Amino acid sequence: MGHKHYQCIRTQDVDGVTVVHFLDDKVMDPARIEQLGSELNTLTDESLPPKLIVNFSDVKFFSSAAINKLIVLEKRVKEKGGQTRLSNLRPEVRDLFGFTHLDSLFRIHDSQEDAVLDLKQK
Amino acid sequence: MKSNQEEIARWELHQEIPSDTRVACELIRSVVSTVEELGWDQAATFAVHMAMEEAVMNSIKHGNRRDPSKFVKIDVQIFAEHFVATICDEGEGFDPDNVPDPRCDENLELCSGRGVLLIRQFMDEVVYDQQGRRVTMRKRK
Repeated sequence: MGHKHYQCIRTQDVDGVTVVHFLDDKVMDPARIEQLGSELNTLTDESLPPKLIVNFSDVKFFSSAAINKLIVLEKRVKEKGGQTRLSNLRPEVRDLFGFTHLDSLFRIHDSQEDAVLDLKQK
Repeated sequence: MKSNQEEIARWELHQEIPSDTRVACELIRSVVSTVEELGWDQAATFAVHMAMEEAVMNSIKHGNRRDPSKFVKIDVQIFAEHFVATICDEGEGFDPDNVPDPRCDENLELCSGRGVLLIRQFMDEVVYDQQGRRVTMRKRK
């Protein structure tokens, strides 16, 4: 999985869990968001059932168009019997999920380590 | 938070852009960079970015329906202590008080409809007029 060449994300395997990092610190460009959606779709097809952590540590801005791609990701992962976690959100990005109540759709952890532990217990 | 008419903006922009999200993206980047350069903190900069992104993209996608013959008029003023932006499209308008609540369980997984909520959450004052075609947003520093 780590050999796949993506343009908008990089992935790493941590104890059998795929951790996704964004390459853009401001996820807002419309063409890049479409590419991001396509890459997340590819990612979910690569492991069954997918166990994914989306690590936001590098993300300063995340538009609602980008959030829509995450919602699609969450649905696809769930359909395949997998699970998604989000981690390392800076306070403003965390507020974004709170204001929209999307923190009830996504499980959010303060750290990647906590998210890995949570997924390994499942 | 009414702006004093005597107060001079530290930076302003008055521009009409085509219904093209790439053009909008570059303009928003410029506004956000300026806010950062003027010393606004991380949270306030994020709020301005979010509101501009949602208001301008909504105008292009839902207001003008990406019609290349229609434009979006954008006015931004950054004062010492507050930010004001007015975004106006050429669409049919809408009732901002009658959009489905994206926070409801049945709407939570929908991939649209969060723009109005996010603008209201991240700005201090939001006024829609001209039948929803124009929004004015204010944020304290």
